[in-house]
Amino acid sequence: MNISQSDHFNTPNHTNTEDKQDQLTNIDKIELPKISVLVFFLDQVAYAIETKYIKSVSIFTNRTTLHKLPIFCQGIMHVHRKIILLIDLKCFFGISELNEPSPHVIILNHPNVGMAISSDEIKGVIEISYHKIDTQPLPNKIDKQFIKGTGSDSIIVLDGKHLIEQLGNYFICA
Amino acid sequence: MRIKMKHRLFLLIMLPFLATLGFVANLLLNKYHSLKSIEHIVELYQISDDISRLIKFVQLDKARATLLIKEIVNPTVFSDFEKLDEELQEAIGNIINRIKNYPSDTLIISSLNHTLTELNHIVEKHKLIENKQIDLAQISQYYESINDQLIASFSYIVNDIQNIALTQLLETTPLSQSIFLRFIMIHLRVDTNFARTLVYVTLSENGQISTSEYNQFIELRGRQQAYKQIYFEFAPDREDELFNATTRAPASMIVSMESLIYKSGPNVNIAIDPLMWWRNMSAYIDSLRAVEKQLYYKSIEESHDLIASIKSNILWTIIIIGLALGFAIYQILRSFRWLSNQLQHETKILTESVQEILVTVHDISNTTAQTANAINQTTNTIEELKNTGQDVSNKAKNASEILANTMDVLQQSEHAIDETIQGMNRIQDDMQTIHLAIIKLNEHNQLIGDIINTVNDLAEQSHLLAVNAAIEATRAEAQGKGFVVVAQEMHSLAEQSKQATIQIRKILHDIQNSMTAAVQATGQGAQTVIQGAHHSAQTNQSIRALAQKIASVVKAAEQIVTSSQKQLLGTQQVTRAMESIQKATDQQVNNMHQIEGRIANLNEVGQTLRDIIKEYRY
Repeated sequence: MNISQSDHFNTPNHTNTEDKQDQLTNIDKIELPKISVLVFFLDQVAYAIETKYIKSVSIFTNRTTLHKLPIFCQGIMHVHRKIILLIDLKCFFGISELNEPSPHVIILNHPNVGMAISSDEIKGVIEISYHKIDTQPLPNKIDKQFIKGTGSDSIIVLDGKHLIEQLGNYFICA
Repeated sequence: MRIKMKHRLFLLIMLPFLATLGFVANLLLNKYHSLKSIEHIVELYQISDDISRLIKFVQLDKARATLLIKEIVNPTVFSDFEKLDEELQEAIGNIINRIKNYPSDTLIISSLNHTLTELNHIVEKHKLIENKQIDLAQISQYYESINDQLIASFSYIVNDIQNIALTQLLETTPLSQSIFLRFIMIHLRVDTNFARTLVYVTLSENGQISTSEYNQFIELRGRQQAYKQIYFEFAPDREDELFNATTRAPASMIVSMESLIYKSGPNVNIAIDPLMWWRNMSAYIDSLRAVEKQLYYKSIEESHDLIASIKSNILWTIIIIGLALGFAIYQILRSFRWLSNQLQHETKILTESVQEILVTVHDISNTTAQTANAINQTTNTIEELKNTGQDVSNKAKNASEILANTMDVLQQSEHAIDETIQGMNRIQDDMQTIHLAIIKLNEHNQLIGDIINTVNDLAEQSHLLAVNAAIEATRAEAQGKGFVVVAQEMHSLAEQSKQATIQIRKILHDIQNSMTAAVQATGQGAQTVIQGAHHSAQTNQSIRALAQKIASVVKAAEQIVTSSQKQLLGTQQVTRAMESIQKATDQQVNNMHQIEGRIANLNEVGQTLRDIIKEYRY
């Protein structure tokens, strides 16, 4: 099961130069595509992930630690009568060791595996213009394939699709 | 020849008669002059008695005054008394020197020397007293013994002076019956007025004392005692013999005396035995009377013959009478001269003695005046002491009243401190109540914090709910646009609620800090109140101790007041005693002035006597 790519992530295919010029001259008039992202904080760093890859947000209540889980997994918890794996994203990115669970959890939208990211604070849902995402590589240890770019206010926009696929691969394999 | 024989017989008869007449006249004159001198001597005796009494008085008062002044301890007054001792010593030394110039009994000198040694002893004792080596009991005992000794020695001196005067009188003047009578009276301490009347009565009768009067007098004084004293003094060897002779057989004694007179004649040694002499003289005069009577009767028988012969030989008779008269006058004048010289000599001695006595009495009077002055100064000093004691008593009373007021103030302070302690205890209770209220408030605050936490949780949940709504709205795309707005509003409300809870938490935190500070402050306040209550209790204890001490001071002040009042009473008693001493000293000064006046009179009498004797001098 592959997740289908959204049209917003693909550039329009225009071959005609005139059309290109018209489009360039009317660029300000064109309503640029926006993505809706959920902004959250981990260690004072703002991250954002597209809302279509998120099922819901919730408060961390209780967890159960299990053996043989991946190293970045903090345990399991049940939300709305469903078992969900609690993932420490920083540990997954290799930034730090496994931390204690944060007070909020962001439940990701995976068709087979219920998983959630532990978050210090959930800021809210905002809309970001697609073209305003800076794709320049960031000077950190995070793998570049998980990052789409940097939004306004230094929000790191994560690649939700890739992230969910990689995480799903881990657990499906396991 | 018959006439011649008659003349011779006449001469033989008349010459002894005339000689007897002349002798009797001489005797009468002697009696008169000796009577005058005896009057002065009697006055001298009286003066000597006065002096002796005065000396006794001076000694007694001096002892009392010295004791009193010694108690008061005034060394200057005491040194005045030492001066008095020295002056007394000098005066007695002068008397000894003066008596040494005259031929007199050595017993007096020895007695005076004895008195002088006694006085030296007194001076040594005074020095011991001054050096405080004898206590007051010994001083009083010692002064009593001094008084007795001095009185005895002075009375002995006075007796000796009287004896000297009498012996001098007996040696110098012919003894008469009146002198003898006076002598007896003086020695037997008979009343002088009685003696004087007796003497004048006897002299006015016959110029001699009768046997009956003598016996009456002897009976009056105590016959045996008088005889014994007289005989013991003048004939101690023949005391019993003469006593028996005079008391039991006077007639036989007169007979023996007559025979003695006839044997020895009129020149009997009168100075040795005055009684014998008097007896002899009376017997002699009686015999002369008998002879006179015989001659008288014989002359009556031969008077006619005598008248005839006188008539015939009147010229011869006149010549012979004249010669006889001239011889008799010559004898009288001779005796007069002798008497005058003797009297002049004795009067001179008497006048000089009186002048010296006057000087001595003047000195004693000055000394007594100094003593009176010293006593006056002492009285003034005691008066000042009394005033000072009064001041001390008043000040002690004032101090006692002030202390009593202080005691009241202290009691009020004690009451106030008790009230302060009670107030402190109330404050402590209030502080405890405040502390409990703050703790309760803190609990409420914590409850509010819990509620705020719940609200915060609710806000958080609302926030998450809004986020979920927004996610759901984006998932609904075009249909969920309105829901996105609702979700945003809900999100902003949740955010506001969160901010409000943050602010409330901050306020609660501030309130909690303030409460903690208040709790600490109330704890410190309670601690301070406990310390204040402790200090107040200590202050109360200190004030109670102070009150007890001040009470003891009040008692001490009251004791001082009573002691000063007793001292004041004692000083008043001393003042009264000093006033009585001053009165006695003033009286003594007056007595001394009177004595001085009397001695001046005696001096004038001596001068008059000298003038009288000068008139008889030729």
